[in-house]
Order: sequence, then C-alpha cells, then structure tokens
Amino acid sequence: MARTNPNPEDFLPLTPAVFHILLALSDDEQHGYAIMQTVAEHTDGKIKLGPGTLYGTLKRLLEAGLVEESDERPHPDLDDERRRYYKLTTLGRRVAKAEAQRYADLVKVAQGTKLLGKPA
Amino acid sequence: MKENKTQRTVKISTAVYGGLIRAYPKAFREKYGSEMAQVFREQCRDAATSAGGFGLTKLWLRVLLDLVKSCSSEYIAALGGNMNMFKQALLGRLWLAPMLALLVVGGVSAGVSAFLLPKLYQSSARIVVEKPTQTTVDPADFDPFWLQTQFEIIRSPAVLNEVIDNLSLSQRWAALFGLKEPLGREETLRWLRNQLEIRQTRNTTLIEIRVSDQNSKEAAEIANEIAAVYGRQAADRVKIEIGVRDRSPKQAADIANEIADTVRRQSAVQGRSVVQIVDQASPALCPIRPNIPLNTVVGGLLAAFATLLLVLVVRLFRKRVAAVG
Repeated sequence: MARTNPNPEDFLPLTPAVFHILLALSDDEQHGYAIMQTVAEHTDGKIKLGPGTLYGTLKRLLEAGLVEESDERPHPDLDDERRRYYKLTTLGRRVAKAEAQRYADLVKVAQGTKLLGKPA
Repeated sequence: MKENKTQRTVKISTAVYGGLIRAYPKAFREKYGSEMAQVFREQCRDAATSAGGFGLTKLWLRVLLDLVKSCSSEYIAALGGNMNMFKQALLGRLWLAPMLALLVVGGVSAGVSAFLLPKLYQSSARIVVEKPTQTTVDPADFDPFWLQTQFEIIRSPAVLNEVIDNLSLSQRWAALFGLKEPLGREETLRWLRNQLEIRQTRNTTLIEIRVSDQNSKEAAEIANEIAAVYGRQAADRVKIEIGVRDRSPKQAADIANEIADTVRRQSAVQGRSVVQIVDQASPALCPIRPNIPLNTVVGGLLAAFATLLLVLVVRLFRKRVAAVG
C-alpha cells in the first residue's frame, strides 16, 4: 500500500461516492456528517450517502492514503470534540484533480458530438 | 408535546441503529461505529424536524439498504474479497444471515408498501334510524332483524343506483380506467358494493356506512351521499308503511303518495327526518392499507425465520458430509 510515488492515474476512474467525498474535502477539512451534507448539496440531493457507505469509503480512502484524519480539533464550545475531521492528502488532491480533468475531457468530447452540441 | 415525541422517536431510532451496527465486522465497528451512530442521530433529528414521520421512514429505508450493502462490502473486504469466505462467515455466525435477511426483506417490504402498493382510504358516516312508531303492543310486531333489514336496504340497488347517478360514478370510474364510455350500471353497482361496508356501532343502534376508495375525498363523498339518499328514501318508506297497512293496492298507493308529501312538508317544518346523520364522513388522512409497519415486520421476520432454517439445514448437511468423509 505504501508506494513511494504513486501515480494518480492508477486510481482512476473513481466511483461516484469516492469522487464526491474527495470533492467535499477539496476546500476544507470536514467531519462525517458535514461530508454527507456537502455531497447532498453538490448533487441537489440526488446522492445521499448512508453512514455505512460514507465510513466504508473513508476507510478505503484512508488506507489508500488519499485522505487523512486531521489532528486539529474544533473548540469544544463550537463543535463536538469527539468528532473526527478528515482532510485530503497531497495524493488525494492530485487524484481528485486528475478525475476532474478526466471528466472535463469527457465533457469536451461530448460537446464535440451531437449529444451536447459544439460550444459557441 | 410534539417536540418530546420527536425527541423520543430520534432516541429510539438511534438506539435501534446502534444495535444494527453490531452486524458490521468487529474491527470496522470498533473504529467507526460510534461516529456512524452519531451521524445517524443527526440525520434522524434533521429528518424528523423537517418532514416528521414520513421523513424518518424515508431515512430508515435508505439507511437499511445502505447498511445491507455496506455491511456485505465490509465482510467481503475483511475476508480479502473472497466470496467463499464470505459464505463461510454467513454460515459460521448463526444470527448473521437471518439478520441480513430480516433487514433486506423488511426494507424491501417497507419500500414496496410505501411507494408501490396502491393506497386505500376509508371514510365512514354514522346515522341513527328511528324505528316506525308501533301502533300496537303485540309482541308479534317486534322485528329482531330490523337493523339487518336496514343494512340490506342501504346495499340495495334502490339506494346505491341513486348514489351512482348523483355522483356520476359510472363516468368517474370509467375515466380512472381510461375508458371513454361510462361503466355499465351492473358493473358500477358491483364496484360500489365491493367498496361498501355496513356495520352496527357496538352497543348502539347507530349504523356506520364505511366506504373504501383509493381517493380519500371520493370515499368520504360516497359515504355521505349513501347516508343522505338512504335517509331521504327511509323517510318516505317508514311513513308509507304506517299509512298503507290493511288497504287495497290502489288505496295504498294513493295514501302513500299523500302521506309521503305530508311527511316531506312536516320534516321540512320540524327540521327533523326519520334518519339522522350523526357523523358526516370526512376524507381520511392515512390509508388503511397497506399497513407499512405490519408488512415490514411480518416480511422481515418470515425471511429471518426461513433463512435461519436454511442455515441450520446447510450446517447439518455439511456436518453429515464431513462425518461420511
């Protein structure tokens, strides 16, 4: 698992759940419930992760080194200090970027066909 | 009060989910179990606050399916992705397979009941019928089946056909089936009778007219119309019976008409009729069928029991094969 310099392309394509979780963590570190809410918000409520899927995916992302637990804890007055916060690793960010680029390339291809029409 | 109920529901749901987390592999639940329970509690609180019981039901359906899916994935992952080892794990822990079956079939039953099965609403109107005044004290005049007779009168074509005409049920129900022509009289009558249930309210002489329909408003409308039509006809019939006793058919018909007119006038003046509607039917808010909790529990328990038997049979068979080998 601990490869010296893994290639982000090796992780692609990502499953929708994985990609959405990485996207949710791309701006800031978040705890589990906040990740769920961000994913629902990004997808207009079309994707609602269950607790099992969320933590099963987080477990695999932690093992793959794409996500890590944050050492910082919020102030007890602001949030429940028992919550664990998760953030992207450098590798995780590169993988998310590569997947986003893959989607962007795909959209470009689709725009070149009759499906979406050529961009103005 | 409502807030207390919501809090209690959230508390119970969280406790149940806390028990279900035990289905996950030990290492997984030890690391993430408490966080999952915390997340579920927050989901419950939000669902209950924003959409009440309906929101909680939807959340539970989603979470049960998620639990089965992710639990299976975690076991397969914990066993190195080997399906044979997954099967061994299912057979090795006697409670695991029945519990998964309970969750899957219970969840599917709840989903099918909530979203796929047609909903049936019931509305009832209650009426009280005054018996005709006895002219003699002869016990032979006492009719022990008087109430049952009224039930049959309500179900008779004389009453129901008038209801069908007044509410244009032949046209309405034909439209439901996408037919341009109205349904036939007999067919509509048969449908209406199937939807109708007449009961005596326990320990009273009140008659309850219950109508079941997929449309709650229509159910209430039909129940009220049956009560109204029966009431109008009963007023005429009761007075006519008193008036025409021991007369020739022609005299009876003349007297009946005259008395019927008098009764209508008197009823209008006194504001009183032979049949009084005690409770008007109103559209039901909740369907009587399908019973989602019952279907969920029965479906889940039957599946769990069947799976438990299957696991026991398979284990017994394996032991015998091992003994022979």
